[in-house]
Amino acid sequence: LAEIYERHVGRMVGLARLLTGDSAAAEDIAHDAFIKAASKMGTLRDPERLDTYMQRTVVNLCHSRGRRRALEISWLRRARPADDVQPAATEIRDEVWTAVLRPPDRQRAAVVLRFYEDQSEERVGQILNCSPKAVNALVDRAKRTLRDALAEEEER
Amino acid sequence: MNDLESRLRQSLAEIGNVGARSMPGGTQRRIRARRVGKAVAGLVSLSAFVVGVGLMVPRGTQGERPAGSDGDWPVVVVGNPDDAYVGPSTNEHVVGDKHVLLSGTVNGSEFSFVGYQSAEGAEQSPTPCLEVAGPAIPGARLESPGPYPPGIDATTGGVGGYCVPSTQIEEEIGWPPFPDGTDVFMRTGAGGGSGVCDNCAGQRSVVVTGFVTGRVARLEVRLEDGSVRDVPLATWPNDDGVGAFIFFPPTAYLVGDVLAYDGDGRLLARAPLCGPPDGGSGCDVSPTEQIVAMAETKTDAQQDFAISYPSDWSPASEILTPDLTDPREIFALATYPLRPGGSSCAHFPVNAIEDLGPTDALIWLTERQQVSGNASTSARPSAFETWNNIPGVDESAFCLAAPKNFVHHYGEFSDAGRVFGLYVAYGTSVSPKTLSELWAILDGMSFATSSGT
Repeated sequence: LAEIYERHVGRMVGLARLLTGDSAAAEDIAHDAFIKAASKMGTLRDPERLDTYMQRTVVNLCHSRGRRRALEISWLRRARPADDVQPAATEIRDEVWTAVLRPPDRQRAAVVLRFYEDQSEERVGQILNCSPKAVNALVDRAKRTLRDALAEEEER
Repeated sequence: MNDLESRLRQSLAEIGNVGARSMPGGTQRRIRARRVGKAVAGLVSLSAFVVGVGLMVPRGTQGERPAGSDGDWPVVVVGNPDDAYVGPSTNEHVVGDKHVLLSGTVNGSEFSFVGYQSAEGAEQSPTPCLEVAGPAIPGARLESPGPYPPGIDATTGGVGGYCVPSTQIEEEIGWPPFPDGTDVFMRTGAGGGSGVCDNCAGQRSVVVTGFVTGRVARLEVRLEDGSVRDVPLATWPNDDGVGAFIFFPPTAYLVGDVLAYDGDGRLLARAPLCGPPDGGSGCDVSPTEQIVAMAETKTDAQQDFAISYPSDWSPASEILTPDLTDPREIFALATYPLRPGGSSCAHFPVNAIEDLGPTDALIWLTERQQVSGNASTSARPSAFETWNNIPGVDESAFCLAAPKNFVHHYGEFSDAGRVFGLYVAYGTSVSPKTLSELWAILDGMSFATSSGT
């Protein structure tokens, strides 16, 4: 188990970090994803695809965290309208990655899985529960947003 | 590989490179505890299936737990609807009878799920209403002083109900009146109460209810851990093509979505589960996201093509460019009524473009009559949203009487051995919903090999 942990979890932390922009949250998410995956290792239909299962769990946990954060911020803004409640700024300073944060969750996940995890469209589709065609569309939309964001950045 | 992809790969690799992690102490203990918990939950769930039909049916065969499920769902047993509790029709607006859609027990406490129609005035169409009696409706609006079903009192439950608000009817065409043209209307609770029961057999549970349109063939709830459960649909008694549903998720798992599919397995709509109302972060009515809103289909044998589009889009009733012979217009569709003609240019639907508003969208499709095997024509793109960036000869803006700020594209593609010209235009304030519909319409077009007519 420890060997599997060492082989997979670092990569999952990286994935979660790219999706959330928060290193501490990424550590928690990757660890939770591993516990969920490990507790099912005997029952997975295809144990060879443990990494796909963990990637899907990480993406889902990051998405849930994003929704919770949005709800919290929304609630805080309602409860304390006088305060200017803003989402926490990301700790990562990188022009391209800052642009990656712009597209919506699913587009960002598609881009990160394609270009960081280097997964095929079919595998990304399995992780995001959509067709390869839809993955293409998500990536294309995200790339368009990225191009615009980078162009804006260069103009400044 | 283009420059953007190279930069992306490089940046993501650098930022995502966090190195290997060694397993912290206590991890194995957590995994073991989780396995034991799942095994116990599996036994409880299996028992529930043995004694009756589970209201929430995990995907797969009965008794087989879906990957990722955690087994803390209330035990629901569907019983005989004949003796189910039905609140009296004290509401003067009730039209016809109340019908028991589903009844049974939740963790041993009885519940009943009732549907009826209500109209506030003779001139108003009836609206669908739901009524739930049972646990998880504490503090609900009581429609009568009782008697209530066994096991229900002021602390463990009550009777609650709601109708789809009448304001939504005015915005929609026909019945049922779903907001924003969505296929799912879902709310946590059943009106009046919080929908959360703290005292239901020692377990907090929630009731989630709603309606689906007749297009929905299957409903499932997908939780954050990836587990999936089917939600059975109860058929509405008045043959209006509407379905109703009820399920009792555990409070701890209210992060996820309810997904609605049509008979072809196409995802129609996604409704997020609301957070617990007492947690300060919950919603009441889920903000449904409509994924595909196809309602109308045009199949034109003469032109050998088929196209589906939402019911609130309008196809042209006549040819918009009557003087154009090659290419020839074969179809036009917009979010607004299309006016044919326009004298300044024969090769664009000028009047229709003039009428395009800031939130509108227009599709105009033509076909070349003389195809000379032009090798430069692009094949049909896999997704039209990406195709619209390919440069084409688009002179439409020069055909207008005055400068107009709008987005427009014209280009040609080949499909089924035929060459089509496609013009797409939309306003600068078009909604994301309309845009996603636009691309879905184009992606869904199908063409047959020309019959030579």
